Amino acid sequence: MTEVRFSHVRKSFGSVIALAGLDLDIKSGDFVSLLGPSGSGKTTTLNLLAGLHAADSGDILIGDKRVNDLSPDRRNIAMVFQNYALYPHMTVFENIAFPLRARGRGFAEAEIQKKVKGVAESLGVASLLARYPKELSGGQQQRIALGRAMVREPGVFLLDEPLSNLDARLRIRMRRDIKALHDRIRSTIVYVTHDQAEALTMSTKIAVFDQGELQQYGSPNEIYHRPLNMFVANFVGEREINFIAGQLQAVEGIPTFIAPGLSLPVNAEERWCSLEPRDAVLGIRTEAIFARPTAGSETVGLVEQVELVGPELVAYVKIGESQLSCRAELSSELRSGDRVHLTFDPAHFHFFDPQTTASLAGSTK
Amino acid sequence: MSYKRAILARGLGTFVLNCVIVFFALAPLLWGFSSSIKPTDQILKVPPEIIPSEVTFAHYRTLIENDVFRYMGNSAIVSAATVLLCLGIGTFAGYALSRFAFRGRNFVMVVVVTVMSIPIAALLVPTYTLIANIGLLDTRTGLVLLYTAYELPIVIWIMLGYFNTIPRQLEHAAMIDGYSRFETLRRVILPLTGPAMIASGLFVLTSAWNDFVVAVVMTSGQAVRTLPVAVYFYLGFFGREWGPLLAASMVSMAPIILIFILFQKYFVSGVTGGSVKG
Repeated sequence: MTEVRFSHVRKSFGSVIALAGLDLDIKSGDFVSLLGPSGSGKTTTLNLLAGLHAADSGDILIGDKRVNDLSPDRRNIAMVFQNYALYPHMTVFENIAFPLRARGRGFAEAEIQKKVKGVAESLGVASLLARYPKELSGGQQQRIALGRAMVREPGVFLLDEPLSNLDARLRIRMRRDIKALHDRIRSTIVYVTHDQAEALTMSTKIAVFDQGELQQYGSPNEIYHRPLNMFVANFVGEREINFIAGQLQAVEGIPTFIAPGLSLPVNAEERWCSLEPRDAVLGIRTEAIFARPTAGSETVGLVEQVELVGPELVAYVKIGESQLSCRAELSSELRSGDRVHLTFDPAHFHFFDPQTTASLAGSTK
Repeated sequence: MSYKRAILARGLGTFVLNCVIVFFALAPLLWGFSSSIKPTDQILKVPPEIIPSEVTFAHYRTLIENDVFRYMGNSAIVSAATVLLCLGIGTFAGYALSRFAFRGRNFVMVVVVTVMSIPIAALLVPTYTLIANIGLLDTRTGLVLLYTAYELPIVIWIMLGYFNTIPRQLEHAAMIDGYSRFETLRRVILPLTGPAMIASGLFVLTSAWNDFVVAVVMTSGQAVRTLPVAVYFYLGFFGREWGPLLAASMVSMAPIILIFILFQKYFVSGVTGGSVKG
């Protein structure tokens, strides 16, 4: 059981600031995803934790020990790389046994045999032990890389986009396998990904990064349903979130969001809802807007594009100056050019300050 | 049908062309070899016999009587030591240049390339003075040091190029798995550099084994004389006697040809190793 703590950690490469003062607490046994676009600082964070880079300032703690000055081999961590980094001149068995044979570990040969076989069986690769990495499929290589990390029973697992080289189906299966693995071994896992779906499905906590700064740290539920700023709101979610610039103001005593072609009443119990008019950006996800060809609301728009997404349709609807993505029933048989009525779910409204991009709801916390 | 005939014609053309190339490349060798096992009076017979009607090893015996084994031994010792030294230093230097960003790295790389492009003739006089001053004239050690100095840059360059093709993640993985930088190099990286080592080793071996100019300048005694120098002295010693001369040529070529045949598979993959994924 090992916790990880970053405090005021800074790192720059030349004039590029990769990480601008990171504070992050990872509890023992947590599965934390570091989520962000490329260049956001998530991989830098992982490499700092692994000891592959040295921090410019700040403290990195694993357990209770400050590890800034420890080399990677003395940090009690294991890592799975994006390209797996299997040793090409060793068999699968030798690859998995490699960490056990490091100097100072002192495992007896019989013990190594037992541990490697145990790990291989738990990953379903026991039949591949005599093969070489180049003779394996991508998914099998992935499992071997996981096995090599598991066999040492490290305090912290680091995974660097381990699924990004797999095809889509396999990725979804490996997602479940890794989650099951975490449920079984209960180790602390730090998982770097740019795929928000991976982060949402597997993690207990997500840390969203952008431009070298931690944007939000919370459970997948919090990240998805209470984004602290426009970046998080937009980055997390299958589709881009709909952003509509407009004004919050009172209409007949009810707080209402007004934008060209739109007038939406807002839940009045939200604490930040003063009746003073102010500029705001409404963020609303596809699944919180529903399009119907029949009358049902006063908001009317023109369908520009329709996609079939499994059990339902996603329609892109033009309203005023903005195009909104919204759900529609399969049976509605929408076509582009149709006029539709839109209903909005006020429970899923996220309001942001257009200047700071911060959430208006978050400002009261 | 005409399509098939065209393919056939092209195949035949290629075959004939290859035969011509093989003839030009191998005919002198074969002729030299067959002459070296002919009795002296048969060698200049017109028309020459490619397959000698009478075989004799008299010329090779003459060579043995004239200390050829000592000269071969000298060449072998000098070449082997040069190869080991070049690979030893070149591998570490190439690794350092490939993996570490240190002050003066670019300068070192420029120097390496520059040194490669200085012709040996221009270096003969200064290195002679140097070797004479430190008392290594007429020693095998002196030759080894000089050959190493001449060949090291190309070894560094080949190794550097090859290290650059090996993903850094492999080292990172090994270090995280609990190995020090040096252990990582020994157990993970070096086993992967075999092709590059063989390629640069063969390169160094050929130049050291075949070198005449440096050896003839730096040595004078018989005790440390290398094979190419010895062949040259045979020329003065035997005069126009083609038999022993050709036998000497065969003896000096054979080991290199043999080693190339043994390692040719690795040599090719080492030479192309830098260009495609390793």
